[in-house]
Amino acid sequence: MSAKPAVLLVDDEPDMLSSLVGLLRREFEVHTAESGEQALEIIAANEIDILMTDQRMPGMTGSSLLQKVCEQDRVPVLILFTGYADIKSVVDAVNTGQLFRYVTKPWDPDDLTELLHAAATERRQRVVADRLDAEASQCAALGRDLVDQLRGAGDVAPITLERFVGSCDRLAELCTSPDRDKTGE
Amino acid sequence: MATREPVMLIVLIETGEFRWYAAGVDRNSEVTPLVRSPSNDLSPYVAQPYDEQVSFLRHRLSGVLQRGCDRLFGRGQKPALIVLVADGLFLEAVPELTQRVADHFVQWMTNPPVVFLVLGQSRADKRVIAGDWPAAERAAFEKAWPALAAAQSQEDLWELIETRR
Repeated sequence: MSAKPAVLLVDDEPDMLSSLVGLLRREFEVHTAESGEQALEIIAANEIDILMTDQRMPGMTGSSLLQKVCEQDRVPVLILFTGYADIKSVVDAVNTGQLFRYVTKPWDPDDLTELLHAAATERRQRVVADRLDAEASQCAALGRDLVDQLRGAGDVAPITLERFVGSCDRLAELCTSPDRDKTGE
Repeated sequence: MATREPVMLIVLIETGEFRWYAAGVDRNSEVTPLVRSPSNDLSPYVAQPYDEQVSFLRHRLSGVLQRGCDRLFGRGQKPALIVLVADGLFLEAVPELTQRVADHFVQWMTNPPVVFLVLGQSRADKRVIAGDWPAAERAAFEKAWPALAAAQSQEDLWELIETRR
């Protein structure tokens, strides 16, 4: 994640985007898209931490966009906003879109900024959790390799030992990261 | 968190022209014209199935509220009550449409609360069709009402918003 969390705002109304950009640009790296299709192109070309999309847009709806984004490898924290209580869109977004929050118009700018910072924290925690998972798997594989080598010739290849120690160090570092989600402990 | 002055956000809906105006009214009944649409901004609901009419008007009017609130926030103010005022029932639709849209905003938006009014034969004849209208806010609104009407006739006072169809 860069110093400023990267937020992608999606709304077919340019003046809405412009208001949001004015509100958020000091604290976030802001990208904008006027359609779901354009949003997917931006996500493919950039590291996006938070995706905040309107629900009702011509062409691809917000919940359809979230569904497509969830099929990709890098899934940002997802926020859907809308001006009306369309229960079906909420259900779709929650069930298929890994939704972080559902926001209704009009929003209070302070509340929205706070929400986006919470989303950025969520994103950092997910990144650390993903790295933790990957490193734990790597460490376990190396540990098994070491055991196999000790059981066989009884000698351990120095490179395997070095990699195992390195992996243990990274694992320890990730376990004590301030961005690690403590709720999963 | 910034401390903002609580004001009323007033949305005037001209059903015949299918357009809207959004203004702020403070506790001293001072009127601040904010944004307006061109004619026919609301007309896409006409000839749509009923549910689509409701959906469109909810979406379009909540966009109006968002824009109005954005302009208030930019002035160091915040909406404490939203007053939607239609100069009649939505045209070329069943009469229930206006009530359904009014009920939606009152039920869905609790902070700030919403009151929905419909004007009768004259501008002085105002009927609450959804929501509660507290006495103090009602008095401030009534005092501001002539200034609101005067501002409506001066289009240059308002920021024009061109929304997409």
